[in-house]
Amino acid sequence: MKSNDCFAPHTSFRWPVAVLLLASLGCSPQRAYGQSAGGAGGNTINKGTKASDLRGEWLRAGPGFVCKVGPVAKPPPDPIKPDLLARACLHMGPFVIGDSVQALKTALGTPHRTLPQPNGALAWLYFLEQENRHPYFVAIVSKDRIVALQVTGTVAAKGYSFNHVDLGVTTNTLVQHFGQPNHLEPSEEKDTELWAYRPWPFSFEVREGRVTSIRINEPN
Amino acid sequence: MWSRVIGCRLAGVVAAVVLFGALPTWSFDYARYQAADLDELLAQPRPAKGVDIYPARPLRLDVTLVSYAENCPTALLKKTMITAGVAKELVDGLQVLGCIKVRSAKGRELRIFVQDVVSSFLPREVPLGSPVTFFAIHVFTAPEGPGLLVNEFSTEAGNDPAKASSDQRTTGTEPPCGCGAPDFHPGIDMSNDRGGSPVQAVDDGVVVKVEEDEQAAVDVPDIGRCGRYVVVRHSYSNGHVAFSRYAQLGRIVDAGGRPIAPGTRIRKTDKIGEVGSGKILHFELRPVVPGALEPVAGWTTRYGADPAMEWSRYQPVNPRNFDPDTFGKIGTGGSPK
Repeated sequence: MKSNDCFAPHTSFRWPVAVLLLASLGCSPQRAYGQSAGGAGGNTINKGTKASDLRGEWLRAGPGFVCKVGPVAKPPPDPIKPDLLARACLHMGPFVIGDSVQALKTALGTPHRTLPQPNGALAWLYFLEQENRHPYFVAIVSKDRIVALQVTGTVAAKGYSFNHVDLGVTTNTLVQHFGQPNHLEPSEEKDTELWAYRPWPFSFEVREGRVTSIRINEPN
Repeated sequence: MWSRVIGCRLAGVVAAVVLFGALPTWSFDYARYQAADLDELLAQPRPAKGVDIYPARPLRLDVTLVSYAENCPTALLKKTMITAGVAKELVDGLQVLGCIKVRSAKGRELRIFVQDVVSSFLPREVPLGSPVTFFAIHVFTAPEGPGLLVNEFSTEAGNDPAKASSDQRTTGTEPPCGCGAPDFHPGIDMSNDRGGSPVQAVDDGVVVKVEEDEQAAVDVPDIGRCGRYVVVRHSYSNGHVAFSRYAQLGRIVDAGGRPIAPGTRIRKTDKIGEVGSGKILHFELRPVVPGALEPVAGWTTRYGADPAMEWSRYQPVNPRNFDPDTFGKIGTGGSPK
């Protein structure tokens, strides 16, 4: 199956019709998402419609997920490309995977810390309330683009929920929204477990039955 | 051995007991287990860390038995089963204290989980180094390999359970005692030359169910016509539980002629009733294990709120092969409490 096969039925949809993306069976997310738009210019979809304007939510569909994109007030004149539509489900706080670092700087300023990451990436870390305390927000930056977003803490960080899941919610709430994970592994954090939904690009850390970290990665 | 228990304990109580020759048939659904190759399973991708979890997939595996007992992380098994969507109540009832080791056709060895009740049969029925067919579910894959849980087994020397079940369906005959269905007899029958002979409990326990209505048409879904019966719950100090049921009874009274009632504590060999006018005792045994891990359809609706019918949710095993000493002593070891 070619990657476009997954989206073919949906590409002609126009706003404000809600669009279901990512057929759950037979389409891997990496195929579905394709290439994210790079650089600052990648934030723009068709004739002025910004990717950050589009919001969607992950819905469980059998063993997989679909990204359901909601309606927007002002539909663009042309059909929207599915790879950019899919980014609607990759938001955390005011950011979306694929944003330029400038978006980070504009919204949050200089990071409180930066940490080297594999493959030349850099983690930009912002403490959201008090320095050196939870909750904190991390954007992984590579080649001036955000390639991963993460929020960590034991209680909800205002504005940084993901798909109706906040830090501190119970695993029951997590399961209500995402279903059971298909991969578990111990986290580097003590008494903490990683819940993953492979190959979908989001994961959660759980300690004592509550979500302590949420992460979205750029689909491979 | 429970087979000897039946033969000795009951024979001493029920005069001239003769076991019927026909083996009971099983409700275990062998057909849903798909033939699989352990070597292919071992060759499948594994996570570098943690466990990948799948919807529990039933597999039939032909392997060689290497060891009867291996340590393994049973807590992980239960956790992944719940994550895989197996009902928590079934997982909670699952009794798995360890693993066995098996060898594939290409000589690769793997530890696999096994239900305690199944592992208790293995030493007597499958010599080490012998071929055996396991009916298992694939729950997860870890860096060490696939996580499999054995629910049942069969050997070349033994009866083919799937075939036996099929044959029984074809004949469509009622069990000799009438307790069951044309395609399902959940226990064994013993005949006696006269009604009224005493029937003793096979082990210590507590009476949990007394069915006084001889005409009770259906006592569990699809299994009826068992007449008057008593169910005794046997609890062991290692946490294991089994239910024994004595059906087609006449009077349900103790040695002093007093009626037996739910809640009565029973010592092994205590009289719990008498053989009925049909001169047949139907005996069955149900260890508390989820069996095929799927409850009988409608059970929860019908009996979920009736603790006295708890016994009926567990699948019967062949009492001739069941060893209560092994069953009660696995782990911490224990006599009935």
